[in-house]
Amino acid sequence: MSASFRVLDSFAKSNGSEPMRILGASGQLGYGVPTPAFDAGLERAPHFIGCDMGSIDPGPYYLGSGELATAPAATRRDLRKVLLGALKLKIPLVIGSAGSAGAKPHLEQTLAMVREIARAESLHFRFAVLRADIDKAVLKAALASGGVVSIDDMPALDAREVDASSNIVGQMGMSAFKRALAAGVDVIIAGRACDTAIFATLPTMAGFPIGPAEHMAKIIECASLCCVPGGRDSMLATLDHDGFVLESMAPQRRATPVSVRASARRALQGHRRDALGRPAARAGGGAPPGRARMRHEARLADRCRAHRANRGARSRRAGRNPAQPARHHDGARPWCVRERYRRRHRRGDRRRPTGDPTVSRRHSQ
Amino acid sequence: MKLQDFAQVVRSKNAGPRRFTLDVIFRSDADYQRAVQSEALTAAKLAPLYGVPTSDVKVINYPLGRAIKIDIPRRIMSGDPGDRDVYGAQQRAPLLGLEI
Repeated sequence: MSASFRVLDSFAKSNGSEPMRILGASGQLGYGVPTPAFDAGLERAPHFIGCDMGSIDPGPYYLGSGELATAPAATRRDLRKVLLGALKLKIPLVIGSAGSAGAKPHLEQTLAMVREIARAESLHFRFAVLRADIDKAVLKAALASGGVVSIDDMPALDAREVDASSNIVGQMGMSAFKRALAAGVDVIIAGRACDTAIFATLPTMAGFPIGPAEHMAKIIECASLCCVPGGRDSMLATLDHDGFVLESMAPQRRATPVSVRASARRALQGHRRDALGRPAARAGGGAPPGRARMRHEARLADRCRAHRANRGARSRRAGRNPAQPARHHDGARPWCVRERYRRRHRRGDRRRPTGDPTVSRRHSQ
Repeated sequence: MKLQDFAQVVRSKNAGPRRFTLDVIFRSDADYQRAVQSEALTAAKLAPLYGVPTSDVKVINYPLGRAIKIDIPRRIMSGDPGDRDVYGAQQRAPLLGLEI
């Protein structure tokens, strides 16, 4: 049985009682996945591993040139690490925006590396490739029918610009990942993709509400950037139907209410666009981003609580008041942050049908 | 008092290649209210600091997070010739010395 079916089956049987553990291995695969934290994450038996491999932040250069922003040797090493980790645990590996910009040349270079690793390590897996390239004729037809809208003050697109472009990609959302996961796969390598879709698709297919799933996704897609000090170490999210817990897999970093709030800027970005009436096109696959009316609350991970001898430290519930950040970090045990959704939103989320693996019509290209 | 003396977090980062976003987060509701009610963190005051028209600056108050988000267009798109801060991570500096 494929890894994606195995996860979906186990959640179908658990009837909503089991939380889902998601390992965010990297915010940009190819910049390094530190081994100790990644291995610590694997020991927690995650249900799947997600990696974002791209970013829009460096601008359009890499998209146009077809180059990877990351060094080939480092990229190969990271890919090898996450492939071996996922296949060892027989869990899905989901990689989005392959090769920095996710167009054909980037995807092909990434696929070549994956095949090379698979040959060298004698790995066998069911493999989905999601392409993001948009045909120039399709784009020009959309231009002609008024279907192209500029965002972020970009000048209007014209046919000459389209013809002069070397690579054109669309950002795929959850529906593309859903199709792959519903087909039963072990590994997904996607071209240009919304980072939240990498992490939120499988949870929503397993019946978790989309609000907390998207919110969790938006934070762990940058791995331990949400910690103090921020870094590139793997991050574990434990998602239930009311919220999620974030845990740093590196003992030298911790997720605190303030560090998570500071990194949640992008989660709020979706909010911002709604507030300004701009196109909320960044939502992963047609769904609105989770409403960000949340409260960040620090607590010790269950595992730590069970081990902790100092009851006084525990009962203080350090960090519940953000003005008084968590004080008893001993460097060895992870702190985690729990996000709670207001009941109103929780109920709203629950009403939404989330387990449907069929393809959304909104993602038709 | 300067913003850097009482804000808990002041940071900037690209919000896509065309804009950057500044986040200011406070320790207490009192600090947050002080900043929100001051004249310093308004589009009119911030625009000249970043050399952009006032109408392009958006200030979004987020009381639940005790945070103020400021959204500013980049004068040079990320990675274009002349860009000195590809990730937009150094753009917080003009805020630090603001008198609140």
